[in-house]
Amino acid sequence: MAIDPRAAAIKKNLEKFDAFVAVMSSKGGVGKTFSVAILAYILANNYDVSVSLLDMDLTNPTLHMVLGLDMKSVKIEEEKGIRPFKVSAKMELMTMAYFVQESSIPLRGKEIENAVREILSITKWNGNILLVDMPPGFSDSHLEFLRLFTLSKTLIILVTTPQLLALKSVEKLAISLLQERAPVAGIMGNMCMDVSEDEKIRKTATQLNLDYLGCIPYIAGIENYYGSRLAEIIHRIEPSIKKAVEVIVKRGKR
Amino acid sequence: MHEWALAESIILTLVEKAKSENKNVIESVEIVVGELQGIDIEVFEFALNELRNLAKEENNIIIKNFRIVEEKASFRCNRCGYVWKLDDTSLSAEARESIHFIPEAAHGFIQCPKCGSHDFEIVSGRGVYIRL
Ligand SMILES: Nc1ncnc2c1ncn2[C@@H]1O[C@H](COP(=O)(O)OP(=O)(O)OP(=O)(O)O)[C@@H](O)[C@H]1O
Ligand SMILES: [Mg+2]
Ligand SMILES: [Zn+2]
Repeated sequence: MAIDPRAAAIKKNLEKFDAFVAVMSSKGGVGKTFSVAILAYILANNYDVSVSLLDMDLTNPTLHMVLGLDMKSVKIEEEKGIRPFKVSAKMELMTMAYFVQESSIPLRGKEIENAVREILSITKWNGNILLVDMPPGFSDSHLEFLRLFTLSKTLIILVTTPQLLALKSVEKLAISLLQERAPVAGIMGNMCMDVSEDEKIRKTATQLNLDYLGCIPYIAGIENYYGSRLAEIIHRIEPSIKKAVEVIVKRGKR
Repeated sequence: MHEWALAESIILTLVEKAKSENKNVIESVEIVVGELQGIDIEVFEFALNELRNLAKEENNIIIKNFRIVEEKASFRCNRCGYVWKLDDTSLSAEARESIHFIPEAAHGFIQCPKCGSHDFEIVSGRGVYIRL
C-alpha cells in the first residue's frame, strides 16, 4: 500500500490559522488579486492582523507584482520547511513565482493538485489569517482548495465588477457553491464608478440571498500604487469595503 | 531544511496511522524518494531518526525499521509521446533548487527533447511516499 504523507503535513501546517479567506470569481480580470492585496494591507496596517498570503494562481501568479515584489532576486528561506516571503512585519507571501521566477508553467489538473499539495505540505506559516488569491474559473485549484481546507474556518469572498458578464458569472458560481453549502461570505464589487454601479452589484447579491460586502471604487492610474504605495490609497478604499473587512476580522478573532 | 519537512510528514503520517489502528509498533516501512525531490539522503535519514525517537518519547509509538528507496525520474511528452530521463536534461543549479521544492516547477525549466513541448507528464521520481 502506498501512502501520501503530505495530507498529514498539510493538516498540521494549516491548523494554526484562525481563518482562511479565499477570493474567487469565475470571470478573469475582475480584480481578485488587487482585492486580496488591498484586504491584506487593511488587515495588517489597520487591524494589526498577521496576514499570510497564498497565490493559488500557479500558472500565472501576479499577487507579488501588486505587492511590488521582484521575486527574481529573492532567496528561498528554509527552516524545517519553507518560510513564506516576508513582505512586511505583518505580511508574508507564498507564491509559485518564488520557484519559477519569470517563466509561465503550463499544468494539467493532476499536476495542479500535486503542486498545491506540495506547497501546502512544506510551507511553514506565521500568520493568523490566510488570504488566498484564486485563479479565474472554477476548476482544479478551486476544487483542491475546497477539498483541502477546513471549511468551517473558511470564508469565500466572491468578486465582481458591475459589468453584465462579470455579474452573470459570479451569479453562476455563487449558485454552484451554495448548492454544496460552501461557506460563501458574500459578494464584493470592484471598479465601481458611481452609485448606480454599486447598486447593480448589491442587487445581484440580494437576489442570491448573500451579503453585499461593498465595492472598491475605480482607481485611475492604479499601477502607480502597486507595492508599498498601496498604503496611500487604503483610506480611499476602506470605507467602501468596511463590511468585507469586518466579516474577516470577526472570524479571525474566534 | 526541506528534508526535515518531508521526514516530519512521514513520521506524522505513521504515528496517525498507528493511532488509528490502536497499534504502537510499526514493523517496517519503505520510504520511496523521487529523484526530483533532490533530497540529501543522509540529512533525510538523520531527520527521520530524530523524529522517530520523538514519536517514541511523545506518543509511545515505535517505528522499528525503515528503508529508503530512491526512484529515478522520467518524463513522457503529452504531445509526441517521447520518454526521457532527468539525466538527459541539463539544468542550472537554480532550476534544480526550484524543482526540488516543487517538482511541477519542472514545466518551467524542462522541455521535451524531441518536440520542445512543455506539456509532459512526470512518470516517475516525482515525490515522496510510504510503502507498507
Ligand atoms: N479598483 C480598480 N480600479 C482600476 N483598475 C483596477 C482596479 N482593480 C483592479 N484593476 C486593474 O484591473 C486589472 C485586473 O485586476 P486583477 O489582476 O486584480 O484581476 P484578477 O481578477 O486577479 O485577474 P485574473 O482573473 O487574471 O487573476 C489589473 O490591471 C488591475 O490593475
Ligand atoms: Mg489574479
Ligand atoms: Zn514531445
